[in-house]
This record gives sequence, C-alpha cells and structure tokens, in this order.
Amino acid sequence: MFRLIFRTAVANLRSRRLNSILLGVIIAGGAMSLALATGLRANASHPFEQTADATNSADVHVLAFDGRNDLSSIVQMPGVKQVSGPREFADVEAEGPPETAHLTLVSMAERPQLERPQLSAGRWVEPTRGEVVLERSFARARHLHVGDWLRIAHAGSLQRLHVVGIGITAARGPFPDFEPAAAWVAPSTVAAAAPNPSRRGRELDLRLADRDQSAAVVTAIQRRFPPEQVAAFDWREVENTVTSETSGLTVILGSASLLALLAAGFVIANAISGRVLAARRDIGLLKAAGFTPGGVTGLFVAENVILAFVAGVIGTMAAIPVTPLLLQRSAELLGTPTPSGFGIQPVAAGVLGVLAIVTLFTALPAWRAGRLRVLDAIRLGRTSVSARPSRSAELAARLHLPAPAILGVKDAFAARSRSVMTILSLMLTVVAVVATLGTEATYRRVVGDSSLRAKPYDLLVESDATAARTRALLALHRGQFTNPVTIAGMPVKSPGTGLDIQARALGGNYAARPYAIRQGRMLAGPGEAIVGRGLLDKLGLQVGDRLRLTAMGHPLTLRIVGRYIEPDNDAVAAIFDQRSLPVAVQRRLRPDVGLTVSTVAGARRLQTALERESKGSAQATVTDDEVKQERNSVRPIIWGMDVLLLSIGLVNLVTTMLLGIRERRRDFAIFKSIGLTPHQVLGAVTAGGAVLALIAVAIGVPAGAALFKAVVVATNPTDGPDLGTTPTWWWLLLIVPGILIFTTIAGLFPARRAAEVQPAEALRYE
Amino acid sequence: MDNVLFTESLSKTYAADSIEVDAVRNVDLAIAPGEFVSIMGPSGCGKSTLLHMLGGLDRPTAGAVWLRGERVDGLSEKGWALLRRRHIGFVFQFFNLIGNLSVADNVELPALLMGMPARQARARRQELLADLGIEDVAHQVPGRISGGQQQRVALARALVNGPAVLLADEPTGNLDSASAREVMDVIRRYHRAGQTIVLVTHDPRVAAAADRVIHMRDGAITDESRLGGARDSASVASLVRLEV
Amino acid sequence: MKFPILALLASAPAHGYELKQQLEGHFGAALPPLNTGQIYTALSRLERDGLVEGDAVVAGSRNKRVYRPTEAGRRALDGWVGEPAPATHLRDEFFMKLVLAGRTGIAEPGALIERQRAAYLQALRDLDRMVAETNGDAAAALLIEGAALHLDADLKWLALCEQRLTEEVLNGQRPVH
Repeated sequence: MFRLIFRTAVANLRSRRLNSILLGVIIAGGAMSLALATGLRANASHPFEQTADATNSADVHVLAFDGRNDLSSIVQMPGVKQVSGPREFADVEAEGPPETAHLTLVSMAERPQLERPQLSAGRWVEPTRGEVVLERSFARARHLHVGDWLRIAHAGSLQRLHVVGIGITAARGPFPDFEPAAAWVAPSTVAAAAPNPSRRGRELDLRLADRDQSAAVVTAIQRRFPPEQVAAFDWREVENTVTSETSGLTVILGSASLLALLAAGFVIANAISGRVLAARRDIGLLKAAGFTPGGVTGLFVAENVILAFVAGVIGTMAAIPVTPLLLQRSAELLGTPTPSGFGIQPVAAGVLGVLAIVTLFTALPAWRAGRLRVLDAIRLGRTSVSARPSRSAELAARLHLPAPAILGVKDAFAARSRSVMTILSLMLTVVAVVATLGTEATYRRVVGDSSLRAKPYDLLVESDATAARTRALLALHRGQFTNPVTIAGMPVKSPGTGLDIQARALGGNYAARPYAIRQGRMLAGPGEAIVGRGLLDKLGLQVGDRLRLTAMGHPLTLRIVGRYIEPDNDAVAAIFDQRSLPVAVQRRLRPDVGLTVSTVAGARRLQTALERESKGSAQATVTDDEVKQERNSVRPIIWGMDVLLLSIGLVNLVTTMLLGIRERRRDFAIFKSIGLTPHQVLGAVTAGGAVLALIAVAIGVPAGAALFKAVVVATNPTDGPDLGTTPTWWWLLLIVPGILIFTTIAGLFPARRAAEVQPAEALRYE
Repeated sequence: MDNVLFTESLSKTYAADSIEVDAVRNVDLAIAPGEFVSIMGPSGCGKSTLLHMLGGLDRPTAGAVWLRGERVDGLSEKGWALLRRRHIGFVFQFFNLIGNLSVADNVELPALLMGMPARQARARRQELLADLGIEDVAHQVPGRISGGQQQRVALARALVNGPAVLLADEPTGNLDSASAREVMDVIRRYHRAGQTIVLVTHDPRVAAAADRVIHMRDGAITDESRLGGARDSASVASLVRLEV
Repeated sequence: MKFPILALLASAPAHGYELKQQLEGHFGAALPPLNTGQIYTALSRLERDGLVEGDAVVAGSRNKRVYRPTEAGRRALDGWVGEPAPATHLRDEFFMKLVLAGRTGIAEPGALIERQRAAYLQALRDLDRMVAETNGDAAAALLIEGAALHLDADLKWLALCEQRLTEEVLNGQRPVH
C-alpha cells in the first residue's frame, strides 16, 4: 500500500506540473520566511547577552587613566575569581571624516580567555606591523573596512594604522554613545603611541565569584581610588546602555519576526488547503477506484509532504546565505555577533515547521473530503451545485448591480471553503500593511515627542569635565538653548529586596518639560519621585506609596507621585529631585545636561560647537537624530519582510483564483452562451475578487490593528500598551483602494483565462 | 434576403497533432422566418458543430453565415455575445443552467443583460415562467428540480428576449420519454406561435416534429425531407391496427 | 380472433353479441370495426374444432346461443398464452425493392432510401398527432408507442443500409448513379 501511495503521489504531482510548481514556490518562500524570521527573533532577543556570551565578558571593568596607581590591590579583593589584564592603552584621535573621534588603542598581543573580543571580519594583529583591529560599531560609523588605513593624530610617532580585522566586545557600549571606542593593537603600537609609560593607561577586567556583587565591587573600587584617575563600571552599566539603545529596535524586530512567522505559516496552510479542495473530485474518483478514506488521506498527505519537503529544504537552504545579509544589519545595530544561517532554530523552523503545517493542513481537509460519498465528490467537481439560491446574488440583484457583477458576486461565495481561504489570504496582506503603518505611526509619535523615550530634551550633553567647567562651556552658548536640566544617572538599590533600580536625579527647571506621565503627576520638588511601571510591579507598590532607596551609599525615602513611560531596564526606574540627596552626595555628581533647542538644525549646530570647543571632553547627542536613525535602520528590515510577505500573498492569491477559475470553466462557457462578452466575464471575476477584498479589509483592518497592539504589548509588556500606536484613520482608509488594486492585479491573469474559455469546448461533455 | 439564417459553404476543420478532421463540410443552409428545421444524423456527423457555428459558440474555418441579413461569421467574441443576447436563444442537452441562482434569476438574466429595465425584465420573466408551467419552482435552484423542469427553465431563459431564432442541441437527450414529450410540446407550441427553430437531434421522433428534416453524414448534408400537415391517415392508421 | 374469443369465454360464458361488445370495450379504436358475422364464423370454427361447446339451441334464436370453452379449449388457451409471439419481420416489400434496385438498376438505391425515410418521418409525425387524439385510451396509447418504436428501429436500419451503400460505392463494388 505504501509504495502504491508513493507512486500515485509522484504521478499526481507530475501531472499537475504548473500547479505543483506554483505551490512549491509558495512553500519554499514560506520556508525561507520562517527560517529568516526565526533567525531574526533569536538575534533580537537579549542582544547584550549574546555578545557577552560570545566574548566571555567580564563582570567589572576598571580603567586607570595613567600609570600612577597600583592596581594590584584590586586583584586581591575578595570575590574576585579571575582577572584579565592589566593591559596598557593609549588615547589617540582618529581623524575624520566626518570629524575626529576619540579612540583607545588597547594593547592585546593575543586575545585572552576572559573578555575576549570576537572577530567578525579579518584577522588579529601581528606584533610589529602597525596593525589594528577596530571595534565594529566604530568601524561601521566611520565606514572603515578590513584593508583600510586609519589616520590618527596625537599618537606619538604613529600616523596611521592598517585595519586588519573587525571585532566585537561587551566591555563597552556601541560607538558613538560610548566614546572613546576601543581598538586593539600590538603592544609595540601602544608604546609608539605613548612613549612615556606613565602616560599610558591600564585596563583590568574582573570575573567575580558572585556576579550580583558587581555594583558593590565597583563602589569599593571607586572609594579606593580618585575618580578622575581610576574609573570602574560593571556589566550592568554596559548592558543598560546597549539595551536602552536597542530596546526599541528589539521590540520592532521581535514583533516583525513574530508577525512574519504567523504570516508565513498561514500562507502555506492556505495554499495547501486550496490544493486539496480543488482535488475533491479526484478524491471521489479515487474512492470509486477502491481507496479507503484513510488511504485517500494518506495519499494527499504523501503528495503534499513530498512537495513540502523538497520545497522546504530549498527554501531553508536559500535562507542560509540570505540570513547573514538580512541579519547583519540587525546584528550591527544590536551589537551582537552576526548570526550565521546554520543555526539549529532557523533550519528546524524552515523544514520541520513547513512539514508540520503542510501535514496538518493537508490531513484535515483530505480526511473530511475522504468521508464524502463517491457521487457527491464527483459532482462537486462539475458545475456549481448548490442547495439554495445564492443570497448574495439576490442582494446584488436588489441593488440593481449590472449582471456581470451579480454573477461575479454569487460565485465569490459559491465555494465556501475557497472563499474563506481567499479572504484569509487577503486579510494577511491587510494585516501586514496595517502592522507596517502602525510601526511608522509609532515611530512618528515617538520622534515627535521624545518624552516617550524618557528623554524630554532635544540635546543631551555628557561631559568628563567637572560640573563647573560644563556650566561655563554652556554659558558661552546661552542664547541657543533654553531650560537646561541636569540629569545624573546612578544605580540605586532597594534595600530589603536588593532590587537594582536605574535612577536619575534631576536638577534645574525639570517641571517645564515633564516626562511622559501616565498616572499621577510629574514630581515638583525634593522628596518626590516618579517611577516606571516595572518598579511598581517588582516592589508591589502603587502611586502614592513610599519608596525606600539606597543611592550612592545613602538611604533615601521618597513619595511616589506618578508613573512615567520608561522604555529602559524594563521600566524598573525612578526619577527624583537631586536635592533629595545630601549636599555632600550632590557635590560628587557629574550630571549630564539636557537642553531644549527650538529646531533640530539648531540642536545639531550646538552639538558641533560644543564638541569642538570642549576638545572632545564633552559629547552631545541630538535626541531627534537618535530616534530617526533607529527608525531608518529598522525600516529596510520591516519593509523587506513586508515585500516578501506581499509577494507570497500575491502568488498565493493568483494560485487560489486560478484553481477557482479552472473549476468553473463550464460556468464561464454558459455565461458566454447567454451573451456575456469576454470583458463582462472578466468583470464578473474581478467583481467577485473585489467583494472578497472588501470583506477582507473590513475584518482585516481592525484585526490587524488589534494584532499589532497585542504583539507590541507581548514583546514589551511594561510600556507596550502606552507606546503602540494605531495608524491614523485616513491611512487606514487608503488600504481600501490599495487592496482592491492588489486583488485586481492578482486577478488579471486568472480573469483573462476565464474570459478565454471556448464555449463549444467547455460545454461539450457533462 | 429575408431568411433568418443563411449559410454558404460553411466548413469547420479541426487539426489535432498532424491529423485534420473535417467536422463540417461546405454546408449551405437557408432557414426562413417561422420555420422549424431539425438536423439529424449519426453521432459524429457534425450536426452539433454546425449548430454551434450558427450561434457563434464555435468559429468556422471557411464559409459565411448571415443572421437576419447581416454577415456574422467574422464577428469578435464581444460582437457575438451582443448578438446572442438579443437574437439567439440556446438550449443544450445538459441544460447548462447556473447552479447557484434560482430558477427565476436564471430566466431573468438574459433580459437584464440586454438592458431591459428591472421591472420589465421581471414582468417578462413571470410571463415565461407561467407559459412554461414552472412558476411553482421559481425560487428553487436547478439542482433541486427534475430534468424536464430544468429543460423548461432553459427554454424560458432562451426565449425571454424573444430571439429571432431558437437553437436547440439535443434538447431531449437527457430526459425520460415523458419529460421529452413535455419539452417537445412546448417547442411545438412556440413554433405554432411563429418562433423560428433549429433543432439538432438523433431521435427521429423529435426530428419529425419539424417542418423540414435535414439529414447529415460525415459533415455534409445528404438529404432533406419536407414533412406535411394532414396526411392520408389511412396508412398510419394501419400501423396501429391490430391484425386479427 | 379465435384465441381472444376463447380467452373471453374462459372468464365468463357469453353469446356472440356480448363478445362483440366486450372486444370493442377492451380494444376500442385499435380494432378494426367488427361485425357480428365475423364473430359467429369464428365461434362456429371453434365449435367444429371442439374447443368450445354451445348451449342447447333455443328455438328460434340461433344468435343467442351461449358458448363456453371445453377442456380441450382451455388447454389450447393455455398453450396460446404460454407461447411468446414471434418477432415482427421486416417490411418485405421495401427490402425487395432495395435489393433489386441495387442489383438490377431499376431504381437508384440512395433515392429509394431517402423516400422511405421521408415516409417514416411523416408517419412518426402523424403518430404523434394521434397521441393527442387518444383521449386517455391507454391501450391505444401503448399501441402507438409500439408503432413509433418500430419506426425508430426501421429508421436505424435505413441508416445502416445507407452506410453500407456508401461503402460499396467507395469500394467500387457498385456503380454510382
């Protein structure tokens, strides 16, 4: 029996060659989408962890800026399990374009076990040749590749370095948010850049016995050494920066990949079901020839599984070279190693996922069809058979629609399963479009209101210099900005629970430009705090309760007056007036300054001026640019997936319509014999498609909006509900003509086939 | 000329692989208004193909066709469709009704196509439903009614626009003898009212209902019999007398 | 006529005039008009053959004799009922004409066939009209159907003759007229 089924299955596939090929293309496309989407999801989840794991990253990083201090005491601190370094480094300037940037040349003859940079291109440096391995985000921002020459200044006798490799590290955040960027060179290069050893810095990486003690260790180190000479930070700080820069991206990519998974799965299911439905007549004949219902199901499953396996493998294999191309972008943005296409997950998703979907969606309808009585099944394949007159036709007639429209409309619903499938397929397209519009709308909203990113300022100035010097620098540009607010970020803990909270202490007239408050109100003075949803959830507090914190070693009690949108750190965050802290602590703060600038162009001009005048000690970021850059990076990925899904949807629609047309050849011949012109037959087919399209839009737009919101919430539970935006109604309205055009285009070829039916031939036999 | 249908050397050749088959060869045919002509012949003789060509469902490879005095064999698909709507009614062996429209809607369809105003189309439809005795099944679908009723629906549909000629292709081929008689009664009735009819059949009793019986073989017309009205009934009576 | 009479007598004895009425009642127009003379002739023959026996003669009314079947008569009736009727045979006259036309050239075979066909078709047409005139006479309707079906078969046979004719002409076995 098996062999018979196999041979019949192969014969069936070969006999319906065009249909099999079309179906194979759809499945391969679906498999490819599944593999790509799985890869994207994997890449977008926990980007920092991926990099930290790949580079065996340390828990605490120590930077001594010159040779003065003895770091050996750090090595001997309790809880330190493993040490990497100390390694010498020299700060140099990398020359533009676009402008000079700070670069730290780190001496690393060989890559150590702990804190081991991973090569994403090229090779490691050779000892004496003036070579450098650049960190990837820096290389990308400066458009440098393996083989290029890096021109440097303030580097002793060095003038240029040969780029031989690109690496990634979790010891620093991405450039330009973390500046200076790192670059790895041979020890001789560092010596050449800073001939005086006491001018060379040293870096040390620590692995602790208990990772959670990293903040304590950092504090201990900060107490031991003067802060302008030795800096220490832990992995959490890096993670926060990475995550804060990528959180929005993660949401988007996570949502997109999830939608793509659903869509690809659906398209395959749709295509397969359509094929089985079209073969109902054959099922009758098979049963007449002696196949049992089980045998019939087995035959169809075998046929489609063979096709699915071949197409699935092809699609997955096609995804393998494409995955790095697609995901390289996202990996660069996320700072993760570039995933290869050979991951277990994507391959499994591509092949097994396809097989599972195909088997399920073949077995169900085939089993149902196998239970039909023989004669019923054979009759099904003939002229349109109904038990009752078409109500849609009556409705159309009552509306006095032209005759071809009536005929088209009634046929649209004639084969219930097929019309449902067609509507679902169209809904897929609608949902994809709505999701894209939603993404664009969300970004537009966030671009327009930066407080939604917990950045209620237009320009952020971060400075290594003292607060006084920063103030002096800003005073020079007094007329170009307003409302300076100081923002001091600090890690704080909740005593008792030990929860790490990301906190900011504000100074200045912060109330003039509040954060995005969703509950309660903005803080008005010392002793008050606004917090993120995550903090409330984790500590079981509500707006109005008291919040106890330990900030920089000092206990603090604040009253929670409001909840605000905080996309970072899962919204486990708090903001309070810096005057809530003791004066001594306040003096130790080195806050950033947030400025309000009236135009984006003005902000950019100010940014350039400040960075130049501070001779690199100050770094200014234009908030608007930040978000827009992220959006521009994400757009190609989203739109790329959209195009892929739309193409698959189009092919699917064409196939479905072709199958439907083939079943109804006789009907079209009858139309012609009673006097419909070829154009009117075309019109009938198109009218039918249009009705289905309108239904798909009517259901798909609200469904798409709801789905989009649900996915955003699922991937960003804390602030998703607040951030996700549905597109404006007039954009949604444009979907109507858009879908009609889509359907018409898809229907052109099938409709022409219908119009070309030769009546004499089609009516010849019963 | 006032023939309703006129053909000159009408021919149809099918080419399949490298074999050519002459389905219809040089048929000259003239059908006057009000005439009832039947075309008989063994299966494969080309009679159905000829009928299809008269109605534009198939294209001749040579020859000419005139309908109501105008040359029509070179018309486009669209042209034929417009012609069929107004001047030709088709009835087929397998009924060919639209399965998911009610009987009434099936009948009304050609009227709507022709552009008849909805009310007029509705009236005309009711007229025909009554005439053909199918009012009581007017709101059922074709799949639910008997073969004889279905063919009467097909007739109603074909006649709703008052066509110049009714073309019938084996109209009783799929009916039992009782239904066949009903259908032929209807056809005869309309013939008596003046309808021009061309009917293709292999059943001699059906063919004998016509005024003129044309016999075809191998694609060509072999002979033609004119059948009369009242005849010497003695010889026929003798057929049905018992011989004792 | 003898067996139908025998059958009627087997169900109930009757005299000549009653038999005539019964026959007309059962067969109606399908029978040619009967006269009582035929009935009496038939009865006499049956009596002579020993298949029926009549009552004693009532003085002065030969025509009112009541007859009934004898044992031999009943046996003969059973035989008649049990034996299927032979199939009808071809219209001998036409067949002879056709063969002779071909062999002797007295007539053109094709034209013969055409004329015969026209005649059959006309007969069919007339038969159809007769159906309308039967007025619910079931026996007559059946008879007409039978005749029509025979005509159907005759027409088919004609078509076959025509086909053979063409083949023989093409094969040169027969001169073309």
